[in-house]
Amino acid sequence: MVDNSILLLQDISKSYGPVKALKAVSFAINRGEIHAILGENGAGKSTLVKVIKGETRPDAGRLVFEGSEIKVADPLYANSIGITMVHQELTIFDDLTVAENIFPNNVFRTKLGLTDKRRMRLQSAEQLALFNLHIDPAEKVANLPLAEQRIVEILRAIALKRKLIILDEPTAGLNESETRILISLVKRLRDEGITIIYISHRIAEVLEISDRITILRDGSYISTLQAEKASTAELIRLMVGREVDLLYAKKQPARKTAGECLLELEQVTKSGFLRDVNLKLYREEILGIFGLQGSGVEKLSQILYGLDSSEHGVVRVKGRATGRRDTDEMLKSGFVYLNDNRKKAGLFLDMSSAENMACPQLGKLSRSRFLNKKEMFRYTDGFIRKFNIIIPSARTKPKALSGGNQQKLMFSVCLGTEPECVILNEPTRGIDVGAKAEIHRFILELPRNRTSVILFSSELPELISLCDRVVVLRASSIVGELMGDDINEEKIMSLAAGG
Amino acid sequence: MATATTTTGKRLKLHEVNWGSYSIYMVNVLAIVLLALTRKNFPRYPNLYSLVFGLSMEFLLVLATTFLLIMGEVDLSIGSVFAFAGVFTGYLVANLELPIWVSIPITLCATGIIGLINGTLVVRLKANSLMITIGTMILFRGVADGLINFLGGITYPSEYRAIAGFKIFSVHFTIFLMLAAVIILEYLLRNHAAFKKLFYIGSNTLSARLYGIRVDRVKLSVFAASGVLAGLAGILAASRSGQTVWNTGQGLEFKMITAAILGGASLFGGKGSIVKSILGLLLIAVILNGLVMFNINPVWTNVVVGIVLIIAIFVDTRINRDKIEY
Repeated sequence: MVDNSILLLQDISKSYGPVKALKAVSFAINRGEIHAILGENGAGKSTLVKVIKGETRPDAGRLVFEGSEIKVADPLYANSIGITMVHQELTIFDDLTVAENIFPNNVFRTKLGLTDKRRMRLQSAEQLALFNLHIDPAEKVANLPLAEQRIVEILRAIALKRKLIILDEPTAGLNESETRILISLVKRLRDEGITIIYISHRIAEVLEISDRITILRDGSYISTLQAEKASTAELIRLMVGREVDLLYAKKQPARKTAGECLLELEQVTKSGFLRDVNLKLYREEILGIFGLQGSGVEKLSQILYGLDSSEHGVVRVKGRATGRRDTDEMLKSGFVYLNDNRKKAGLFLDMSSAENMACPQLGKLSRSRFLNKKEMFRYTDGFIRKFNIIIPSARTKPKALSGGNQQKLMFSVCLGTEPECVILNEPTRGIDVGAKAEIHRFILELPRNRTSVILFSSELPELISLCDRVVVLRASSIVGELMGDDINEEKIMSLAAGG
Repeated sequence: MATATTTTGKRLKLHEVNWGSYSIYMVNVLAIVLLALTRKNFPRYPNLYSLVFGLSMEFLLVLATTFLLIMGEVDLSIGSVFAFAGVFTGYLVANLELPIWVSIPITLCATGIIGLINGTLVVRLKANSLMITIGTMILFRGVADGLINFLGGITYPSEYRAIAGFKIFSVHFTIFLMLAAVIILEYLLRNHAAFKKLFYIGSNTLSARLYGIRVDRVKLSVFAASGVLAGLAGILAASRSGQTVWNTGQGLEFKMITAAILGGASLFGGKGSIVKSILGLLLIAVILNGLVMFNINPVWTNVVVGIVLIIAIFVDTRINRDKIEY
């Protein structure tokens, strides 16, 4: 075999506690190719990237870069040998100019050691012209559109003479024409001899841009295909082709989804996030909403609960059109929101669990505005038993609990309001399998108690086993609605990825 | 399946008691006992009375600071508002010849509006209250200075000066006011639903918003209350001293923050108690008093208070280390 590989991965394994993120993954990246890595959320893409750029040390396996083994796990070292990554979250300096961002290390100096701005600007202009980009090097980066900001970041990687650039979802949040510009830039880089690892779950885009495609599934290496020989259908099959996890509850026959409409969106638009979204939620159904990163799902969940407002369109709560809504009104009309990031919001980590439980229930738990503490503890103990939360006492602060128990407590805070509709945003993110199965059981019980559920989840098996109806978003718009047997991984993915 | 163990909130185990949270009581007792044993003038009634009376003239400010700190906010303009209230009331009484019972409500409305301005700026601009109130601190210090200049250093009319001297059973009414306010507000803070919201906001503003607390509205009302409280304190102080001078109330805002932090509050919000903030203020007063008793020039007060505060923060971060990690 002619070895033209730049990076060789040999039996890379990595576990986080009981979770095996990577299981003996081996493959090679060739010099000067665009190599896409494809996989569902949780397939191990991000862990693999972390290993390559030295952010985390694999438990086992070897990493060989240009013929010599990389032994230290250190991003700075990886940088020094020519590996770099352009992040999904930008790491540019907003308040500096384009030129200063492309050359952050002050390489152009005058005799006095000051930055030679003129030379830096000229060099930047040259770089930009190389790729037919019409960006003013003196412009502040904060004033550029997202696509150009990302391009600036990529140019920085090139200016620093990197050999291997990892692009993580580079087109997330970009529109069609911006995506085109970025793709042509990436292709030109390849022609310059730079190797690109391209992480994405947009199948159409991956097929177009890459030379070879490696597929990961559940932490294992599945296969590497030549892009020109691969088809969308085949890629999807390889990505999701697993037996349905026993973990997930068995789906019961679909309930009928008609009758009273609890929440209705009509032509809801928020520029850059959502375009003409129409959505209806019926009583006693579990409605799933799926979209890949950058599709606008995150914004949709916020608008539903009044955490953000739309620019155009109508939101009707129980048939009543509402203008500016706030969370207080939403709670009063029977809605509640389970946040996706419990560390950021959703719990009061430093207050007792009982106080956490009381927050949305201050009215009910007090007598003439004075908190009834006995009632507060009785109420909390009830939920601790009901949801089987493992906790020393209702006085315990949530920060002392495990992730799964924190999640169950947050679930209890929400359900304590006896809502008519819960908006669940990633209800099982980052928790162990046991707690996950329990939470799935609780969710399935909700419609029986006349509660509707809107489930935002990036885990397809979760959506498939729980939902009566799934709505899929792509590029700010709803692109499809699936019901009954149509709710399966292939259909959801091909709608979401636009294959 | 694991079983969940729960307790009804009644029982309190000794090892669960957070001894660190009682340190302000112990330090006060220690300082007072030490002074009482070494200086025979310290425990005399006139000395202790003047100590408590001085406290009662300033406690309103520490109330405002504590409420705001619990929410994770700060109002640095209280010292300026304090001075403004004193001189503005003086202006109304002396120059416009309004009766005192009309002038005081007008002043309190004005300082309440100043509080609302602070609150509105913080809420609307989503800005750090530290920065915003540095602005209003300077602004209203300027307004107060202008008024002081305009009045030309007069002594206020007797009906104005009489307020602070008003006594019940030969004890200044402000002492009764302080005791009543502290007991009532501490009880409300721990038990009333509306006051509980301050802790939720301070602990995690986003969570509070998710669960239906109208964060902006609560913040506005507490900033407004801060303005009114600072105004009331300013009127009492001006009435006591009979005039307002250019440095009246200067540095009070930091003294109050110091007192509240000594009493366990945090700039990050979520913590605080009225009783303990008052004890923090008491500790500062006792230290000052002690320095006088030992014939040390009071200009050294700040050195001692600064050291005490740093020690308090050091002890707090050591004892409650787990609280700040993450």
